[in-house]
Amino acid sequence: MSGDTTQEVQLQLERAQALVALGRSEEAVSMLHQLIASEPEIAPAWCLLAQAQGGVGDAQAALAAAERATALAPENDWPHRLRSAALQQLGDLDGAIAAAREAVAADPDNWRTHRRLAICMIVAKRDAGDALQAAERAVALAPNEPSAHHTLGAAHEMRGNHDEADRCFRQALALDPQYSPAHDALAHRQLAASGFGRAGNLAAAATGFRDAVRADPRADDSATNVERVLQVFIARLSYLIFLIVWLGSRIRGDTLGARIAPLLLLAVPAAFAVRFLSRLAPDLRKQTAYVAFHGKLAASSIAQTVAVALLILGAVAPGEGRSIGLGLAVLSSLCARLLLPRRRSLLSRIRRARA
Amino acid sequence: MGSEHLLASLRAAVDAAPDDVELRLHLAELLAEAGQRQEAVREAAQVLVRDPQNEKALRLVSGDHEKVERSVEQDEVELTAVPERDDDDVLRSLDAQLSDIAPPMFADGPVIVDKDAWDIEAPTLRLADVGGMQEVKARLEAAYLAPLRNPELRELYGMSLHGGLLLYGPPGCGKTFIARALAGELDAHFLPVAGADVLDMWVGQSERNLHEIFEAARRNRPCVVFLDELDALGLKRSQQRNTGARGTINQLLYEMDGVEGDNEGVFVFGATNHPWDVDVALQRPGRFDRTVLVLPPDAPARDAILRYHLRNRPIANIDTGKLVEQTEGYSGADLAHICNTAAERALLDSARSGTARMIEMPDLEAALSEVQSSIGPWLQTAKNVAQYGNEDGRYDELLAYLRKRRVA
Repeated sequence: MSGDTTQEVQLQLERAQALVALGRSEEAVSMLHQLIASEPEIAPAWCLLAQAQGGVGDAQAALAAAERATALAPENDWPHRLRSAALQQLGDLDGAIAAAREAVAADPDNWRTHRRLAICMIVAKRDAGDALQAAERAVALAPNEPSAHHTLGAAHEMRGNHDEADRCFRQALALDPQYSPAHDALAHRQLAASGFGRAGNLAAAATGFRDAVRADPRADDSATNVERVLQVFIARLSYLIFLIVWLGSRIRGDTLGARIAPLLLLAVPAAFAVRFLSRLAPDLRKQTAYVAFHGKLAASSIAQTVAVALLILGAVAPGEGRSIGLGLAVLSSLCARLLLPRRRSLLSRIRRARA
Repeated sequence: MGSEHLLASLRAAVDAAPDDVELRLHLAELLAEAGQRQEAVREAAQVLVRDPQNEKALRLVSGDHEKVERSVEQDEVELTAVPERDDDDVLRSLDAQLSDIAPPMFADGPVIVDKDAWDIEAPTLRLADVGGMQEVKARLEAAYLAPLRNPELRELYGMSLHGGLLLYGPPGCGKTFIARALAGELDAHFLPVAGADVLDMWVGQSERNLHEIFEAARRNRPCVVFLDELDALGLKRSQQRNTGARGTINQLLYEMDGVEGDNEGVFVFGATNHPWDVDVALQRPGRFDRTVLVLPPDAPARDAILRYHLRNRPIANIDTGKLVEQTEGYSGADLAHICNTAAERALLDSARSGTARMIEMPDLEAALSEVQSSIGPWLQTAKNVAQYGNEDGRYDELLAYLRKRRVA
């Protein structure tokens, strides 16, 4: 290549790199195909092509490009890492781990190679000790890199060291408050800690997923998870209301105590709701109301609101009105429950967005 | 030999001081005398780039140099023997000789004011030329044009025109067209900085490039600097790892603040599909603090776009009203694609049958079933932002649109 050609190739590579950094993978693919057509022996061009193909979701093409780059520059760690990532995307986890090990062998002082190896092992859910060791090595080599801390957190989580995992995720956020995967991971930790009555943890999980979306608007899984956490809250609240309405309807007698008791019982779901909502930012509170009264939960929420109103009316109504009111309240609340998606299925559908 | 030495030293001096017009002109004259006509013309052209009215350089380039130099000795007979060239001849000759060095002196199409660095277009469009989009026009009027046209009211209500205007919305929905029309409303030149130019700022000397853009705008004021794909230029800090974007953003802020140059009459518009990726520093007051959402074309706009793309094609019995109804949520680019697909279908059919036929409704309906709205992925990200990244209410309008379309 002449000096001018070298310079032009360099410029094209930098442009392609900028496109990849901007997430404009399709444009990068097109530009790199043109470059490779005229200069087919340039390993970085194949590496960038593999990266860009991964960006457009074509793992097979990414693997082919990474293999070509590996053939051209087997001594370099980058092609091996890209091959590992592509194999992981294709579900060949053994191959991904082997390629990651080759990357480590090619450049043992590069934190990215150790992180890649750790990620493969975490995804494969095997060799937890080795994964932890690789992640620790990555952090030792790049202590200011949030993604390394995040991977270490995931490795700790795999071994059941939840406190350590939390500490690593928080460290990643301390280094970059906009690091979305760490927000997402912490939200999952909060969700795991949110038992039935733990409205605070549930609110923290919703806030964490929301922060993950805010940091990276393309984090679709986190966005879906915010909505699902809000649905879980609504489902739990609905269950509590059903329980209270049913208990309230069982209270007999015409004494003042018997009339006030159903109203006092309503304090339980009210406290749960207040605890949850008070821990949310105003925009999430608004979103909760929107989720409750629009879309698939709307019918259930309306039925449950009617049930509460009927319970109150029934409690204060004289004579026959009381039993009719309380009976209708139970019926309405039961309908609300039946209209809701199952809480367990909601929780199981909350997906984990991986780095 | 001596003259070669002199020329060499003069060349070195010109390289050291490229903007010294007199020095360069002297070099050009010596080169012409030495018979190195081509190089002399090149140097004279460089003089003209810096001083377009320089008469000596004009003569050198037009080939009249020898006559000027010899004029003292020449008798009247020889002078009259050469037909005099009028000014137009000189200019045409210049145009031809300098086409690859200096900017053209006249252009038949849109006026190119600053061809050497950036294409600057004269105002030709008005907002009235934009079909439909009444809501966008109303927002532009409120956010930008009304304060601009009413300086007294602007002062009374304490509104400033300092800062830029950011147009955002899904891809292919006419942000650039609207920016051009807005420049027309301001009677301002239009200096578009396209996505590819923006990208080159990552790999080239971005600070200098940006400075040159703003200098060109200042020379041609009133002028709108239109930065397309602003997200590429002002990528969020958190996404800037391993990139050289920081310097570019700082330079843009520096130019927008007018620290070095006077920005009176320079309007800065930006456009982006992803306002959420634009660095917050660029969205602070005084920068791109006014945003206008440009949504997919409304019904009148879709009608205008469809008619535009079908206007020079053989069509028959096209019910644009029906097409307009069926293309809610399609971008302008999608509508163009539908028209092209329908034309391809008719063409293929004609080629098969050997008889040319018109493009008809079935062609467009078939195209419509093939071409889906391209803004789906954008809507998903926009939904995430409008629902969970809207704490200051800046995406309220977007959220209302998404809810109306039942996306959020």
